[in-house]
Amino acid sequence: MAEKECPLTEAVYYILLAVRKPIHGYGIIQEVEQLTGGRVTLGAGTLYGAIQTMQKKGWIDIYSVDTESRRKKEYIITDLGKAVFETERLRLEELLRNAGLMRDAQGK
Amino acid sequence: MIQFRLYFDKDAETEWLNRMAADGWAMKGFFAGFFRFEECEKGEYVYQVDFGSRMNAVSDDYREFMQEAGIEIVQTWGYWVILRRKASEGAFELYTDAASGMAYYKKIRRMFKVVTIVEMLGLFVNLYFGFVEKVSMGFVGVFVIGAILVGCINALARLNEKIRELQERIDGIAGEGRPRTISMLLAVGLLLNSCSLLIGEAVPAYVRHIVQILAVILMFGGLFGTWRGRKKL
Repeated sequence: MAEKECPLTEAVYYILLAVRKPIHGYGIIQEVEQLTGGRVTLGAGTLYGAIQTMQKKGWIDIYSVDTESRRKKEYIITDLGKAVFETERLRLEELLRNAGLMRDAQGK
Repeated sequence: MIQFRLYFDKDAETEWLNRMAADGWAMKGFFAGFFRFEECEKGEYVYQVDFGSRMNAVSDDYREFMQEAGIEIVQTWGYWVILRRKASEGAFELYTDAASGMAYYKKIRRMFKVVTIVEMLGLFVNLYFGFVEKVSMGFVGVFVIGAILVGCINALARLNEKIRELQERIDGIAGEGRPRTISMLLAVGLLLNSCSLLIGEAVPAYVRHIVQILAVILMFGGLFGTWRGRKKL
C-alpha cells in the first residue's frame, strides 16, 4: 500500500519529517524552512490541503487540542505515515546509489 | 472607497488587490462586484484569494489554521475566500508547489464548468421566451447571458492553460495547445445590445439606433478579434 503512494511530493515528504514529533501547523512551515535552509517555504494553502489529505489517509493524527489553555492544535505521524516515509526513503536511497554511476563515468 | 469590478480571473483580481494595497488601499469588504476599501499604510498587506470547499463559510479548522499563520480572513463570497497578511510577516503565498496549485485550479475549473452549464440552460430558457413567447425581456436575458458566457469560456480557457502548465512541470512531458480566448469586445457588444432592448421606447428612436449600431460594431469587432487571435496561434 505504501509503495503506491510514492514518490511523495517534496512538500509531503518534509511535512512527514516535521511531524516526527508533535508540532503545530505554523511550526511545520518554520521547521521545513529551517531544514532546507530556506529553499522550501510551504504556502498556507499547500500545507493546509496536505494536512487535510494526510489526515484522511491516516498518515498523521491530531496530537493535542487543548482549547482551554489556548494551545494550538498539534499533529503527529502515525505508524502508517512512518511506513510511507520509510518506503520513500528506500526509493530515494536507490536514486542516490544510482547517481554514483554518473560520477564514476565522469571520473574516467 | 468603493470600486466595482467583475473578475473572471482570480489571479488578475489578486494582482489588482495587491496593487491597491501598495497604493494604500486595503480591501475590507465585497458584495456582488463591489469592493470596499479602507485606507492603510502603503504596502501594509498582501492579499491572496483562496477557493474553499463550502459556500459562504470556512471550517473552524481552516479559520484556526490561518489565524495561527497570521492570516486574516477578510471576506468569503460563494466559494471564494479573500485572505490577507501583514507584509511585515514576510512573503505570503498560498500554493507553493505544482501539485497543490493544480488541485486548486482544478477546483476552480469545476466551479466554472457548473456555472457555464447553468448559464447555457438559462440561455435556452431566455431564447424560448424571446422567440416563442415573444417577450422582449427574453432577448435582454439572451444578450446578458451571452456576455457572461464569453467571460466563463475565457476563464475556462485560462484555467486549462494554467493546469496544463502545472501538469508539464510535474511530469516533464510537454503538452500542446495555447489558450484560445474570445475577445471581450463581443461581451461588451452583447451587453450593449441588451441595453438597447431594455431602453426600448423610453428614448428617442435615433438614440436607440445609435446604441444598436454601436453594439453591432462591437460584436463584429469581437468576432473579428477572436478570429484574428486564433490565426496568430
